[in-house]
Amino acid sequence: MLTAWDGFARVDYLPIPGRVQVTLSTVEPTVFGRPRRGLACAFAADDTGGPPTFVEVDIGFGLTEDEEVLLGGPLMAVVNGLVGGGPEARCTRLTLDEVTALARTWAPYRDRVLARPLVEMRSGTWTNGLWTSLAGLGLVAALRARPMAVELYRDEAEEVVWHDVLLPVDLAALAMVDQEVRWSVYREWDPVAGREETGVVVRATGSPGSAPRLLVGFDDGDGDWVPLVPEPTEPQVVIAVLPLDPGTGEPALRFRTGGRTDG
Amino acid sequence: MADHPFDEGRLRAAASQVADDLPPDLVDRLITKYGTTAALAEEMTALGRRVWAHLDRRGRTVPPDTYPQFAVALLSVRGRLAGVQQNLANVADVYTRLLAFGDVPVGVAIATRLLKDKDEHLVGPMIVAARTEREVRARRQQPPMFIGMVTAAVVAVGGRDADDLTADVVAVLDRGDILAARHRAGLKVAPGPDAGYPVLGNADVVGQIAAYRVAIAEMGGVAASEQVVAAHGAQLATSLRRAMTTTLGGAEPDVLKGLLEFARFLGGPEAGESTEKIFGKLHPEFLSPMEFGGRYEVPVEHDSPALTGAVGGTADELLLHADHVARWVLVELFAGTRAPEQEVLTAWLTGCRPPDAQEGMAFLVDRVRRVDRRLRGPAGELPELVERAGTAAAFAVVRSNVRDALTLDLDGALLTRSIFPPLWTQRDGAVRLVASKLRLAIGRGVVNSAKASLVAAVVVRAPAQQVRRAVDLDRPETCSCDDGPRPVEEVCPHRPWGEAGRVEDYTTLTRFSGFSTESTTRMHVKRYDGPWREWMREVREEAQ
Ligand SMILES: [Zn+2]
Ligand SMILES: [Zn+2]
Repeated sequence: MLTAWDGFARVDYLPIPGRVQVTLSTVEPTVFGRPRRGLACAFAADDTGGPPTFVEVDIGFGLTEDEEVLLGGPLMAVVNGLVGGGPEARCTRLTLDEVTALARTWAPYRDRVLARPLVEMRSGTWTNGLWTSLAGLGLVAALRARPMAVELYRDEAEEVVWHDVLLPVDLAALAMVDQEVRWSVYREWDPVAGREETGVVVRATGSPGSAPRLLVGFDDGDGDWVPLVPEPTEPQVVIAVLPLDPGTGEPALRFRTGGRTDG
Repeated sequence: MADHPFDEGRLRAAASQVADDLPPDLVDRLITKYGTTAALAEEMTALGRRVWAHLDRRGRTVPPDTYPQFAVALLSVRGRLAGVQQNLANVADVYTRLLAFGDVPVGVAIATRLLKDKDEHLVGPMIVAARTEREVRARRQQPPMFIGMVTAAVVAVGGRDADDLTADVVAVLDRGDILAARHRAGLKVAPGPDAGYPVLGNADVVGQIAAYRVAIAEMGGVAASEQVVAAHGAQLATSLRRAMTTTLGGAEPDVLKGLLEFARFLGGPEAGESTEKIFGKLHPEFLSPMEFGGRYEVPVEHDSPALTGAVGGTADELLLHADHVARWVLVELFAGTRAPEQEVLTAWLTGCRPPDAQEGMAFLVDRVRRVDRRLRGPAGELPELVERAGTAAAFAVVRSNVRDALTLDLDGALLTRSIFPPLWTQRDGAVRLVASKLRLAIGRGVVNSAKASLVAAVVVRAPAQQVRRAVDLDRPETCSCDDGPRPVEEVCPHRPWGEAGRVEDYTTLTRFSGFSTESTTRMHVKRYDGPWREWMREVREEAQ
């Protein structure tokens, strides 16, 4: 009987509404989810380590680099042959190793969609590195409550409220940071725009004697990754500042490891 | 008259091949009646001689290249009365009818015999469907299950020119794919599990089948649209649900009924029943969760001298010993296999199977375990080995590999490893693939899913790789094998195919399957009673 691990994929391109769909045929019951705006996926309900059985990407003017990483080389080769033409569906066969790669890449979304009770977040592969996506942190609620002034977090001021999250252990090790990462919210006057800017600041501590290689971004489909960079005053601490409008919906916060050339 | 004299040896070979190619449940019934398949083949040969004479008296000959079809005609395969035919004229009739369809492969000929009398009119369509399907499969990447169902439906619906059937099926697959794509794009799926599919199926696969049905209807001149696909999808989901809930009992028959429901739906109200019969009889392997065989218990005798080990002696003695070992290996590999399984085995043994292919994985893993068990255990009496045209290449490869391995003085598991090309490049993927098939066999739910993962992780291992029956509380979360291969006595689940050593212990198994503690895992290893229980038993009985 047919399962997603058999690797039979159907890749669809629909110019209206501008969408790419990938189906890995299976007879197993599935669970559907929408990890972020513009991206939906399903996973076999009983497969805790499986690839997506279905992926839907709203592509707008094209796929982002992120979406290319998520779909991976073999599926992207098919997608590239379709996008720009008329509506079309094309079948392809993924090898076992290709299905395995897909399953590893999608691990963070799989855990979220299957809503598995997890002791700790697991990472997925991201090209040669690792990534994860942490949802439901309450970033927007914190922003609305009482963002601190931007200079405060730099001073480790008492009144700053830091929130802790735990990175997957393998991701932290590869990024050369402590597993515990902190975030807070800020506001500052932007003289150029002539208005106040708000956002989230993320702060990690590098392992002793190492140069941390960690990137962070909102999992909102924009595809932006911001490297965490050393604080001048505290070289072991790396931070990233991510502007966020409190009027938006709550995004997940995602992390990935990066090489020196990244960012 | 006799252009072709009766060739008893050749008919016996054909009869024994037919006996081997019968569906497993039928073989079980026939063995109850005749003792062994060899005895059955003997009965068939004796009857064949009489039918041959019967035909000869009427001025007809039986050309030797039609012996396989002749042998199929010698059997009555229906229900409780399965056995060698009683009536000579019946045999002659069946044989004549089969010949009318030209060259019919044995497996297909057998499938036609499984039809009931009232379905006699489906014999022709079934043979045509089998032929068409083979051509379509050579051209298309779709799941063989879809191709089989669509072909059966196109043939059963009828009204198409026989010469264009392959093109017709390909057109339906293409058209169905784009209809399915559009349908899926408009489908509003709610987040979360879909309660509409408690046992089998999902919105995507149901939409796909519904789209194929609309494409078939469109070919017959009925206008199609996504709306029609959606309506059909809803209808199929309902009948699927009904099929799933009309029986109590285990998950397996439910799952099977669900797949037949797909086929029936494809044929529509007019041709649904015929489609289901053609597809179901031609493809028992698509309806079995594990795809292939695995049903034949090979008894192990524990009272004779060890099979392998250093032989020393002269070159002649070595060759003789190599021949014995090779014969054992081949018997374990091919015992109880039918033509599709033999194709999978041959592709693998002759190096035509890419090492990260999915085809027949569960079946091949099972065969590896059998050979491994045999070569590590005592020999027993040397078995008979029946060679066929289709298996000759594989047999030659195994013989030569065994000879080479024995010359190098390898034994047991190391010998097995040196005979077989790798079945995977990453063990993890193979384990998960097999676990997905086991889930379909064992049934739904968190515990069953964990059990399927456990059994897959225990059974999917290369020769010379073992499960350690112990807990390792100090084991770090990440295995340190990236720094280089680990010693054989250490546990590493990532060992490549060719690396000897332990691949699992109760700690790695617990983490992988998701059981809460090592003692839960141990309990499941101990009490497991599902498919492949013999391999679980082997692990728990093995001295370590
Ligand atoms: Zn297609
Ligand atoms: Zn390892």
